[in-house]
Amino acid sequence: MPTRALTTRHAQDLELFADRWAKAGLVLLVLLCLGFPFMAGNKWLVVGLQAQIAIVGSVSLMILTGFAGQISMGHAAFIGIGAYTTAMLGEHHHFPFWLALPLAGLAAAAVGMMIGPFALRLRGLYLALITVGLVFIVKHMLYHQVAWTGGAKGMKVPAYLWFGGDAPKLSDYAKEPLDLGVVSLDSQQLMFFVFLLLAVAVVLCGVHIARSNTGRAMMAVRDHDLAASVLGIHPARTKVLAFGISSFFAGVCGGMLALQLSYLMPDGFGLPMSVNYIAMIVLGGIGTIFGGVWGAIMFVVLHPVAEQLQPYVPYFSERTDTLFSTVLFAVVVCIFLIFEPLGLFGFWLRIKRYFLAWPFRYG
Amino acid sequence: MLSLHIVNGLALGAVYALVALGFVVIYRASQVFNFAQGELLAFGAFLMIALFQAGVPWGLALVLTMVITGLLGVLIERVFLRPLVGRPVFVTIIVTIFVAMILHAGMMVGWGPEMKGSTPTPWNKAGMVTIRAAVTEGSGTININEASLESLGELLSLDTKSLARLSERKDVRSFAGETPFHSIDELLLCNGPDDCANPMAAGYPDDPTCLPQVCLNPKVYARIKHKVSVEGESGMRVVRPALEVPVNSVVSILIAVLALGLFFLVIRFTRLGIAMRATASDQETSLAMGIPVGRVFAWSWFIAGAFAALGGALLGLYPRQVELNLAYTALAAFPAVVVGGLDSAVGAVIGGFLLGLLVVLCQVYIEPAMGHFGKDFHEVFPYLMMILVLVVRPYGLFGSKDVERV
Repeated sequence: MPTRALTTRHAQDLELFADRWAKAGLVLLVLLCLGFPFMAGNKWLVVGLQAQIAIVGSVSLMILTGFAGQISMGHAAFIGIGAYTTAMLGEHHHFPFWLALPLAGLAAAAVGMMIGPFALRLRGLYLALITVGLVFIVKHMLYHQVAWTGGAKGMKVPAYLWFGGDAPKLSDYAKEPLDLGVVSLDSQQLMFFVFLLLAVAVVLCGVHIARSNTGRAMMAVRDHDLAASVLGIHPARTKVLAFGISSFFAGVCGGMLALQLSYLMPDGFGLPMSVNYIAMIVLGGIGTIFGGVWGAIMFVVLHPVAEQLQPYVPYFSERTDTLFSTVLFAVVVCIFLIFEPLGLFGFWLRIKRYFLAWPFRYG
Repeated sequence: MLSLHIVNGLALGAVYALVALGFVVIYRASQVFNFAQGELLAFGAFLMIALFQAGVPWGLALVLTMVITGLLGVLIERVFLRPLVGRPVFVTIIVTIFVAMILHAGMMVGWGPEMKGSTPTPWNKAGMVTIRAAVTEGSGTININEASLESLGELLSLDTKSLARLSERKDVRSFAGETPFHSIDELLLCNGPDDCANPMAAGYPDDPTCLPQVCLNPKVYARIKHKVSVEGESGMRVVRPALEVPVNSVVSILIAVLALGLFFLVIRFTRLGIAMRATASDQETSLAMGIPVGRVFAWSWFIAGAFAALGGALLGLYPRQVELNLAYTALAAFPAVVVGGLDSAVGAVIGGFLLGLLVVLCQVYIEPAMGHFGKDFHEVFPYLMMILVLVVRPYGLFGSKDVERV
């Protein structure tokens, strides 16, 4: 495998897919993404939807924790706010889902920017524990603000295609698929493509933030905020911005989650969800968008894999709950953290380096 | 009633203080925030019951529980956290969270999700310590005939929690572990064993069959007098209600204070304590001075585990039940640690007791005033307080401020 060509022009530097191999990979990826909803059965289509949601969520957390270095255990709160905003806009005000999603992001971002100032005074663990508090407070609101959220009973999430209560819904296509001539799409497949668009947009945003001034400022603040401020970076503005961007995408992720679940209960938006997202970015490789994406995919795919394995594992074989997948994921994360600090990204780097010099051991 | 709430609050606070101190001990030694503390606490409570059921005497069972849980803590440190020395904070956080998940799953498989009853005690588990006897005029009890427990509950418009307190045999699922049952204490009033031989009267039913005789608070009696047929009414009037606090609460406070006192003596006067303080202040220098830092880590985890187990054994006391959800108590103890300051042992203890008081008082006085939104508000209230404190003092009340060097 050839090494990347020497860049001689700025435009070459900016290319996302610089060499032939990357372009080939891109084509393969596009084909896979487009073909997936037609090849996968219903179960794996749901896994695909969950993966897209998880990608948006973990990339958004990566921007905050991976780039800006702010440890947040409050991701579930932002996702919850996004999810319930989407649900309430749809259910109470009959907003179409494509408008509710960005509004959900804005609602989450508003709360996120309110947390931002705390991050200016607190660092490390103190900030993490404040965000734990945020999760508890939001969950309490979701449970007890019954008029808005339906409380513990939960609420429906209608995905209207246009304004008004009698507008057609996305779920209408479940019965009669949308006929496009060449192919016909049912509601799940349609949702897959909508989510694909969103996930790609968010990932591209993440990649470009990482390569831009903003991202570099975030990383400088992460590595040493006092030093960064000496270099002319405004740490306060950078932190608040990181919280804003991250929680906006988290809100969108919540909206997608709401649409996919189509019925919301406050139970899911607790600390475990935050922990899962942190685990995803750590598993993938902290500080890289690659890590955010692949950590999320790995997390989502582990669950059906665990389901397949469960009958063969002693003590867990008779259980019907998700306990085994939790344990499997926990063990995998612990092993990765102890033996491969860079996570999947480090794994990928090693594979790439091996093949760079192939068939020789060292290049 | 206020003094009863204060005692109950301090008893809960004792548990929080033990857990919070565990967090601080580990954090000071190795800058790890141990999210598995809650699972260690639940493990201790389960182990206590298991040992006691296996026939180990109570005192030995308690000590064994603490030692075994402490060793479990040492094991966790050795296997999962020692390889991570020097890695960023959130990596260690994540590892402890996932260790907690593994422990949780292990306990789920090993002990099952159902409630295990309260942790055993050598004393009467429902006993009360009378601080001040009631002063009554006249005497007598009121017999409620043919009033089953439910109808009594209906009459008094009790909520399910109070009703559950009335009779554990009723399968009321919302039996909340931490609730001090203030409402029922205001309802039922016993004027000592002579007045009222029925244990029901004290609010602690040991024998569910003897219902009919219930001593009532005069105010309540006035409310329901016309609704029930009353026999043997003889004009009992309570001038001053009795002041009784549960033995369990008093013992909890005493044991916790003893353990905490012992800890501070060890830290102050022993070689181990000096080594721990040295490690906390500078790891590398301590290593250079020949202090076995690895062993200090192990001891810190041992102490934290033992304290968590003790906390679990105290938290599982009657009327609470031992179940896996006890682990969430440690989540509730975060505000205590943060308010006290992450690296301050004194702060954690003070924070813990304050938190317990705050939670109980919030349950009693603030929640009823908030209507529906106030339900379970005591779970959130400490976090609100914590955020307020952190805004004013970013390093907690007793925590040390970082000096930043470029």
